This record gives sequence, C-alpha cells and structure tokens, in this order.
Amino acid sequence: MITEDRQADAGPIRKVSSSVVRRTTLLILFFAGLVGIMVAMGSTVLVAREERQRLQQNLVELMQTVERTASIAAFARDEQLASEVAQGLLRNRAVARVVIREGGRTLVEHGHDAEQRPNRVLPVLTRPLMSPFSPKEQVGELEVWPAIAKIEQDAGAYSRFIAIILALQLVSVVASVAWVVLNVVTRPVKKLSDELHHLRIGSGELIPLPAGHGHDEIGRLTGDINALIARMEGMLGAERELRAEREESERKFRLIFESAETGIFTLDSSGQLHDWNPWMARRLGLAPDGRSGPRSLRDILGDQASRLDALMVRVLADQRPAGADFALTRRGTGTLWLQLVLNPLPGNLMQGIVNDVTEQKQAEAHAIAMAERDALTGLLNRRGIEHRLGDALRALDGQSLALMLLDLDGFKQVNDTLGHEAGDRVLATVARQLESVVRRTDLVARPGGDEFVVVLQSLETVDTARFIAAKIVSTLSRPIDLGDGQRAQIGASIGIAYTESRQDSGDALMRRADEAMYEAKRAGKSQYRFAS
Amino acid sequence: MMRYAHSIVLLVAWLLAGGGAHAAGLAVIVHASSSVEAMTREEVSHLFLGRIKTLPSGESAVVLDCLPQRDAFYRSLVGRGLPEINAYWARLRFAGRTQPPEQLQDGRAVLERVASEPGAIGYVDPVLIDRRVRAVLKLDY
Repeated sequence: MITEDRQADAGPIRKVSSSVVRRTTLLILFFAGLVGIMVAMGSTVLVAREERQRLQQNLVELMQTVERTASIAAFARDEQLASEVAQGLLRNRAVARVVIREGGRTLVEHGHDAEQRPNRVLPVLTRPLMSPFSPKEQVGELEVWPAIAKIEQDAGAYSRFIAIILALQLVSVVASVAWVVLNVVTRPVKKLSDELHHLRIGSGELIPLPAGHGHDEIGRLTGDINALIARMEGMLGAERELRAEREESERKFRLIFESAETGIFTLDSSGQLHDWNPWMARRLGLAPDGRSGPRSLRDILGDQASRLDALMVRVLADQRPAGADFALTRRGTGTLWLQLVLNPLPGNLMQGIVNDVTEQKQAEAHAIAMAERDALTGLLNRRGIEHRLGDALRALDGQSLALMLLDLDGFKQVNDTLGHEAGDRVLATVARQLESVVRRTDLVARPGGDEFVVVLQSLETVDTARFIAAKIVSTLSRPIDLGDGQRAQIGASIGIAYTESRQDSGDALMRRADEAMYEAKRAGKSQYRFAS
Repeated sequence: MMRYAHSIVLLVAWLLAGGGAHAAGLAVIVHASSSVEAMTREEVSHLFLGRIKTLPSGESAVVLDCLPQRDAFYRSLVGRGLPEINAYWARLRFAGRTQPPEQLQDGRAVLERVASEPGAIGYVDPVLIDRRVRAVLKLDY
C-alpha cells in the first residue's frame, strides 16, 4: 500500500525532474546549434573570402616568380620561352589563361577561354614586364586570368572543411558543456529536489550533502535547506508542545464546563440558546451539547418570557451583568427555581449562568411560612394573620370581610385539671375543627393562648358570617375526646368585626372584634356578637 | 687608400707601356659592303641580346662574340656582368628558340669572320680595324 502510494507519487515528479534535465540539455543543444550554424555560415563566407584572397595572392606571387623569365621572353621576343612560362603558370589550377604581350604584339596566349569572365572579386591580374637590362623600359605585359570556377570550388571546399571542423569542435564543446551542466548542476539539483520531495518533515531527517559539492552553491543550498528544515522542526516541536498545552487547558475548561453543577450557556438577543453544558441539558431537558441547533429560552420560560426580554434588554443596554429568578412549573417534580445571570458579550450575544435555586427558594418560603405559623396548631400566628389581614383588606373590591376573634371558654380549667398536654391537644383539635368549618379561602389563626382569629374573605352578605359563626359556636360546644377516656368540655365566645371598606385597618378591626367578643363573654359565653 | 694607390700604379704602368697610342675601347664592326653606316647602342644591344635578328639594312644578322672582350663589351653596352648575361642566355637557350651569338676565340677571328661574311657583326679592338670592315659603333670603357 505504501509502496504503491510512493510510486504513484513519484511518477509525475520523475517526469517533471527528468524534463528539467532534458530541457537543460535541449536548450544547450538548441542555442549551441543556433550559434554554431550562424558561426559556420559566417565563417564559411569569411573563410571563402580569405581563401579567395589567399589564392589571388598566390597568383600574384606566382607571377612574381616567373616575371623575370617572362621579361626575358618578352625582351627576346621568344614565343617558345613565353609559351614555356605560360604553360608553367597554367600548371597551377588557379590559372585559367595566360597572355604575354610584347610591345603591341601578343607573344603568347595560352589556356582556355575562361568559363567565367573575371569579375571585380577576382580580376584579371596584369603585370608590366620590364627589360632585363634597363629596369625602366617596359618591354611587355604578363596577364593572368584567374580560374574563377576552380578558385571558387577550392574556396568552397576549404570553407566547407573549416565548417565541418567547426561543427565537430562545436559538437564536442556542446557535448562537454551539456555533460558538465548535467553532472555539475542539473543532476545535483534534481537529486536535491528529489531528496527534499521525499523528506518527511518532523522525522529529524536531513538532506545528504551531494558528494563533491561541499564548497559550492549547491552545497550551500543544501546547508541552507537543512538549516530551514531544522528550524521548521524546532517550530513544529514548539507548536506541538503549545498544542498539547492548549489541549490540556481546553480539556480542563471542558471538564469544568461539562461537570459544573451550574448551567452555562450563550444566548443571542432573540432569546435563542446557542451552546449549553450538560447540566443545563439535563435540567431543562435539552439535547446534549447544543448539537440539535438553537433552542428558544423564551419558549422554555413560557409565560415568564417577557421578564427574560426585560432582563436581556437591560443587560445589552447597560452592558453590565444582571440576573433574575425564574420559576418553572414542571410536571411531577414541582416548581423549579432558576437563577439566571446574563453577561454581555460582543455582537449582541450574552453569556449566561443558570443555577438551580429551588432548594433555597423552598427553604426561604418555608422559613417565611414558619415565621407566620403557630408551631402547635399549624395555624397562622399573630404576625401571620396581621400580614394576611392587611393583604385581605387591600384586596377588598366591592365585597366585604369579617374578622372573628374567638376566645375559648373553659380552657383554663382544662389546662389546670388535665395538664398542658391536654390543653395543647385541645388547641390542636380546635384548630382542625375551625379549618373544617370555614371555607377554603378563609384564614384561621392562633395569635396566642386560647385565642383564635378567623377572617372570612369575599363575603357577599353578612349572613354568611353569621352562619359560619353559629356553626363554629355549635361545633366547639361539643366535648373533645382527648383519648384515655378523657374528655374536655369547652366552648367559644366570638366577637365579629364586619367591614366593606378597605380603609379600615387591621388593628381597628381587631379592637372592634375584641370588644364584641368580651360582650359575648359577658352575655354568657358560647355565643357570638357583632361589633357595632 | 691602398686600392687607390694600386690603381695609380697600374695607370702609370699602362701609360709607360705605350697604351696611350690608341683610345681604350671596342668597335662594333660590320662587312664593309654593308649599307649600314652606323648603329645606336640600343640597336646593337638588341641585336647582341637576341631581341633583333636582322641588321638595320634588312640582312639577317650573324652575331659574333669575342671571348676575351666579352665582359668589357657587355659591361659597356648594357651595364651587366658576364654571370648575368650567361644566365640570360641560359634561360633562352634552355627553353627558347633564340640563340646566343657565336663565340670566337679572339679579335682576329672576329675580324676575319666579319670581313668574309656579309651580315656578320662583331666587336674588336679598334686598332685591328682594316678596310674590309666598317665600325658602326664605338664603345669606350
């Protein structure tokens, strides 16, 4: 599998790198060939010209050689000698025709008519022939016609020969250059490239220094690449450590986030939850870790959503953390109290913490309830009834309210003869009996001792109060079974203050009921009286 | 100085020997019956060097060299020594058709030949000249 990958990987690379070698060689060949052709062409022309000049110079020298004999022939007017000279000259391939003149007469004219007329490049060469005895006296003329075709042929052959020599030299130089470039530059570079390509960064591998390149640019390049690799590996190592550290701290934070016994979440300004931790998911019945998309916190809070809106507006407007408590009614588990604290984040987002404060709330409620309850009977105590009475008075709205102050008759005697426990039991029984007589909405309290208070709320008529008072009196006049065969006979005197006005104070009602109660006692007990 | 002194000694000796009886030189002679009265140095030199093969009269010339006086003659006539004249003739004789003058042993032989053969031409010491021949050019040296 690995080898297959390697081969598949190496295929195009080998092609590319071999193309570098091939391209270098081809370029060298191309340019060298181009230059070679130009040089060969130029040299052919130059060499041909040189050769023509050389041959012409040869002719001149040849003429100089025979000049004296030609002069003698001209002087002596000896055609035979002249002919000898002419034939001697014609033995040279470069000579096409020789004419020796003496005075106005042609002494000899040898050679064939030139196949090509002499031209400007190769003119007919003429030399005056002086008398051998008086150098100032011209006796004739030597005329030599160059053999243009032969000269051109020779010059061409020579220049071709030179061109071939040049070409051979060029080929060998090009081959040498190509070989040197290939072995000194291209191959090491290709090798370097291959090594670098197959190098696994991070494995600690380095590129081996190409042999024989220790002190040149390729050696320096290798060294620099290795230095870079080393630096990169150092950086990779540092980054790995950093990542490990980051992962560790992330893990810690995640642990905190996931195991916190507190809800942690983010919220946008429309009340959508974006992220939440497992605690929150468990408490609010959300999908774990927010993968299922945003959930609306407003929906979760139901009819308290408007309070959430207010909280969010406050947090975002003030850019300051703020919190509020919310009660969620859940089936089966009762009310869940949540304390929500929102913290503004950039981008109209909020980070939130939610705590389950149900227990505190319950404890708080319990403490409040305890403070307003009578420990013995479970009824409201004085403080409780004063508190509730105030509420009830303030809640009056077209209806009426009756405050009954009830004092037990004969309780002191029970206490004295049967003991405190029995008395307490009597008080508890009375409390139950009162609660059973009054309506659910009515309040029953024991402000202290053997005194009880009943507040009838939402009365349509005073008759209801009268009816309930009569029922209480009759109920409490029955003997109370204390167990162990003991019975207590008590009764109740009731003073009733009736009002329709929410202006009345609780104290005033109490005083009026108290007076009515004493009136009932004076009137013979076990009866009720309305305050005037 | 020494050479100069030597020349003076020779001159004195020559004068004492009666050399002053005739002028030093050579005479170019032809047959007395020839119509040629006189020739220029150029005509003579062309004739003796083969350039011309006839006498001015139109007769075909028989040119005669006199061996003892050859060097003096050619030196006087064209200013060249014998080696050059010989080399000249060597070339012509080897490759050409032109023949050099016939060479005779002394002035008398030349005289006899010119006197006996019309068309002959030669050169002799002027003192040898008689009526059978005519001098057409005198050369001093």
